[in-house]
Amino acid sequence: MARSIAPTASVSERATLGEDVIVGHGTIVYDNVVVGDGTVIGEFCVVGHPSTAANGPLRIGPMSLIRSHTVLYLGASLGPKLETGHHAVIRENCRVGANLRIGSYSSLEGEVDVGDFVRIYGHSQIGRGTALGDFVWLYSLVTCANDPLPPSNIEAPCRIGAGAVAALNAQLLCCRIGEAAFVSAGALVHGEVPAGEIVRPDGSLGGPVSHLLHLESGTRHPWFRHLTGHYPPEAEEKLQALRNLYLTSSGAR
Amino acid sequence: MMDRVRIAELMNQMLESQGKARPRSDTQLREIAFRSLDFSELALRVEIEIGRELNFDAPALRAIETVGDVLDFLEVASA
Repeated sequence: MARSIAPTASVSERATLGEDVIVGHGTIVYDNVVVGDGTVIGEFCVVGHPSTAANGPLRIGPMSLIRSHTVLYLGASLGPKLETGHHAVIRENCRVGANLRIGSYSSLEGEVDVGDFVRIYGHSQIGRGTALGDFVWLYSLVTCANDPLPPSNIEAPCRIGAGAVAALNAQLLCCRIGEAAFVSAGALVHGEVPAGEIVRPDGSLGGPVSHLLHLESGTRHPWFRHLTGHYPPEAEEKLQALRNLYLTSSGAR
Repeated sequence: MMDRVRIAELMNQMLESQGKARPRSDTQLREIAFRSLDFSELALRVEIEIGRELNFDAPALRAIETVGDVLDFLEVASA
């Protein structure tokens, strides 16, 4: 399949498109953008949005799927197999690993570090400077705030460990969340959450995630004990490492 | 092993703090909106009382649908 650029798209001569890239109607691709092979960019996207804070080009990894109305800023480095929902925003200088899926209307607000195989559902806002480990799951409406005294110039961005889950509408306030922890829907989280702990809806700690059962089936957390077939094959080695680390460490059960 | 009566007391304390009536052993969990987070809290209370971790691998993992199923599960897990 050859490269395909819609007639109403505007692609800078100083952008570099790989093989078999598709650019949809109404999309603008600015200078200093590098798009990997096989990437599909939908309609009305802004790719390489200029920013005075950008520290380099925008790089989009191969085999990505950028859905319509996505805005990607200069300075972001995005790994292979990125998948965005509609109207997603990734601002300048974010460093994103492989196979991020970020849902519609969600945003990474700049300088965000994202590990590999992270899942962010729709309408989530990830504050500037946040760090997400590999295999983190953030469900819809999750907020990661970075200002402990709003409004101020103090920055205390969230740090979320590998395999952690924040359920629907969890509000994460300048906190640190350990590996494989589980934050309940609607919880307001401050401070430090140890690895493998449940955070209850009232923000209190609620014991180990291995106590979290689907009562009807007996399926229980941590999720990487039971969830299979979700990730691309190249994730398996890292996923196994996470299982090994978590399920054998004495500090987490 | 924590005896079943004591586990039921802990469960009732939890439910009463949520404004719920004491259930019967055959009460369906969905009738009293007893969900996974409630189960985890009850398990934690049992662990605190017996002073050690429950063994979740010990009980056969089968459907937990009634209050009695919860008591059975935690009784075996606390052995």
